[in-house]
Order: sequence, then C-alpha cells, then structure tokens
Amino acid sequence: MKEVTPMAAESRPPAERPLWNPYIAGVALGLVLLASFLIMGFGLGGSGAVSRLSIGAAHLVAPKTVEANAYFSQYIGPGKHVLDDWLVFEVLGVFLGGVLGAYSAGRLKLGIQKGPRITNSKRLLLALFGGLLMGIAARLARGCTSGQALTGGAVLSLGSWIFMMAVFTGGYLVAPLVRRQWR
Amino acid sequence: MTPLLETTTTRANPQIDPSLHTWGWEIVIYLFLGGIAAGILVLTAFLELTRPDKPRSRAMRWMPLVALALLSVGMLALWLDLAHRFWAWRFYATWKVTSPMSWGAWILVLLYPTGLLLWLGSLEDGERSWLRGKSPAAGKSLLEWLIRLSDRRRGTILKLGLVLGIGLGIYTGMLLGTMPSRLAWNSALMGPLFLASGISTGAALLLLQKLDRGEREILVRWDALAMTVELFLIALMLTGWATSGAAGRFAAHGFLGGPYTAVFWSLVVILGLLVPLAIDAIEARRHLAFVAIGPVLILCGGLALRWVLLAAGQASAFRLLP
Repeated sequence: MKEVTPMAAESRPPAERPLWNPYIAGVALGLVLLASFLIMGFGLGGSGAVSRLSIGAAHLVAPKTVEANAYFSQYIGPGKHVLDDWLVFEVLGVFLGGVLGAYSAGRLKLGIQKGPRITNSKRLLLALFGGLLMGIAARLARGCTSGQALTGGAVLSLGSWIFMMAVFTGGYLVAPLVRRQWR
Repeated sequence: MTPLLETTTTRANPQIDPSLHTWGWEIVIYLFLGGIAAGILVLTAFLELTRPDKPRSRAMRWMPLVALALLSVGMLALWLDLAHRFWAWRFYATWKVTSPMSWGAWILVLLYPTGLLLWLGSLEDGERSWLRGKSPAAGKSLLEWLIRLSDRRRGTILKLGLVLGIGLGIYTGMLLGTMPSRLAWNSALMGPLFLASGISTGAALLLLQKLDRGEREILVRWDALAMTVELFLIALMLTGWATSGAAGRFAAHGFLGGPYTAVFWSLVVILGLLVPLAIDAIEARRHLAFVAIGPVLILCGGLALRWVLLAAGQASAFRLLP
C-alpha cells in the first residue's frame, strides 16, 4: 500500500520552464495595464492594497486609534469598507495569476531567494527593512512603482516621471551598499 | 417620523426582539462545515460502493469520523446563533414535512449513527484492536455489536450514508432557498448549488490528506466535476433571476454590478472555482506534481460562497424593490 503526501504525489521532479524574456514580459505588463484602464477604468497599483490591508488589521485591533487618525480615518466610516477597493482585488488577482504562472512553468515551490552566503534570517530581516522603507516612501509619494511609475507614467503625469527618475537614481546610489549580500 | 424610526422605537429592534439579529458568522460556519461533512460522507460512501474493496488509505478510513467532528463544530456555531438556545430540543418533538429546518434537524440526528457505523466498518483489524483497547469495560459489548453491525450491513450503511450526505448537502442550501421573502435566496437551485459546493469542498479536504494514488486520482476527477456543475448552477441561477420579474432582477443585480459583484466573482468564481480548475487542467496536461494550493483555494471559495450568499440574501427584501 502506497500513500502519497499532498505536496508530492508524483516522485519525478517537475520540469521547470525557462523564465520569460524580460522585454516580452514588459510589453505584456503594458498590455495588462491597457486592459486594466479599458475594463476597470483604473490603472495598476500595489502599495495601496497593502496600505488598506494594514489599516483594516489595525482597525480590528485598535478601532478608536485608527478612527482618530486623520489619514487612516478617510478609509473607515459608515457605508465604507476599507477592503472594498479595486487595488485589493487586483492584488488578489496578481497572487492567483502568479500561482497559475509559476505552476504551469513547474516553478511553484516555497523558498527564499537569496545570495549564496547570506543566512535566511538576515535575508528576511533585510527584506522586511526594505519593505518598510518602501511602504513609507510610497505613502509619502502617494504611490509606488506600479501606481506612480507604471500607471501615472502611462498617462504622462509629470510627477510620475519625476518619481520614476528618482527611483532609478536612488536605486543606483544605494545598490552598491547591499550588492555584496547577493554575492 | 420616518418609517424606520417608528419601527425601531415601537419595538422592532434587536435589543427588544433578538430574533431581528441577522445571521452572522455562526451560520456561515455551520453551512460551510455542514457542506464539507456532507461532501465527505457522499464521497467516502460512493468511493467504496463503486470499488470492490474498502478504503486503502488511513485518511479515507477515518474521514467519516472527522466529518462528524466538523458537523458537531458547525452545530455548536448554529446553537450559538439561537435566540432561545435551550428550546432547541423542540425540533425533535415535532415533524413538519414542509419545513426545511425540520428535515435538517432529523437528517442531522440520523447522520451521527450512520457516520459512526461508516467509520467503524472502514477500519482495519489493527485499528479495531486499538479501539477495543481504548474502550471502557462497560462499553466493550456495545462496541463489538456496533462493529458486527457495521460489517454485516455494510452495503445498507454505505447507501444510507450516501443518501443522508446528499440530503444534508441539499438541506444547507434549501434552508436559504425556501425563503422567498429574501430575494437573493429565492432560487430552487440553491439546494443543488450547496450540494455541489459541499462535494467539492469535501473532496478538497480529502485531497489535503495522505491518500492512495488511485483514491487521489478519482477524487481529483470528482472534485473537478463538482466544480464544473457548480459553475453551471451559478450561471443558471443568475440567468433565472435576470430573466424573471422585478424581484429576480433585484437579486441578480446584487451580483451583476451591485454591491456583491466584486467579492462574488473574485472570491467565489475566480479564486474558488476557475483557478482550481485551471490548476487541475495544467496538472493533467503537463503531468506536474499535485500541489495543495488548489484544494486550499477551493475551501476558501466554499466559505466565500456561503458568506456572500448569506449577506446578499439578508440585504434583499421586497420593500427595497423600486
């Protein structure tokens, strides 16, 4: 009698397909953005959904503090649900699309992408620090690389183009400091 | 004075009349766990009836007992929702053929001994010896009698498990479907829809266990069939509403442009049905390893179906019609 685990019903390793050419992926992402404008009337975004999820979680734990906060309170109120927003559903779709894409390519597995020498905990701590920094900056800039650079850039918003240049400049300036973590 | 103020100041508010309290998470959990229990009983009984031998994997042998445990948790949630909790026994002092709650109450009572016998009959000799060792001295003769009964009447018990499982699955939907005053529940398809969802979520929970390869292949096929039927039933239900009178059109609008559109299509249809079906299709086409995320998404979608339909139904009434 042979019982098999849910995670590995087949013993043979999945055949991994190569990653997409980044230029073709870039064009595809542009077409997704165009479709998003045409079908939903909104562009793409990422940090807005994380922001709403964080506010929703904070409201569950400390409702009075959230309602008293001038910034957070704009998302909370009678007849409003903090998660009832296009970006929340869009990010859910990104997750599901990612699952399907990774699975069809034989690449769906849990793991931590990192350099050969860095430990898992250090890699995760650095990622958390980077995520926090990016989250705060995205709120200050009223958008992230998706909402500002991609969506705002597509409609030729001057602020979004300045944001995009600032992102590349900041990235090139800071990259030497953390590059060795990937070696 | 507005009609609403007059209503609430005279008496009709939840503080004075607790029956005005709407159905919340308790009923969602009850319908969800009841559906899973129905699915497990239908699938385990049907699998054995269509195959010559007993369940080969330990998970399939013990799942009828797990179904009863899940059903008990669901019934506890239902009991917590009752306004008069200690009057619940009155369900068993009567029998009303036109009341789905009466049918449900009696199906639930019959399910416990049937599920227990289904489980005892599935056990292997070693597992039965372990059970005898754990049994108190006073209960040993009862246990032996139940084991003999479960072996002697195996065919009857399997068929009874199948019928009661189908009954429970349909009942969870009929409970809503027979309330025409709630426009977004008023569909004869609610019973079959909840049965199909119960079978797919029951199969999903089974697929998360360690199974025999043959059992897994059959369950994946049945799961895909149940999800496909569910999609057809959803399409029929919405078409039926949209092409009927003002009440039906109001119900359909809730899911086709109204307040429940985003959660229904994203969580129930895409996350809970289309993506798991796509994962099944990719798995079969590319001969990839089974991944647990498909069944997990099905379970999330099953919970969302009950949550969204329960909320939409309670927010729909004739007095809201234009």
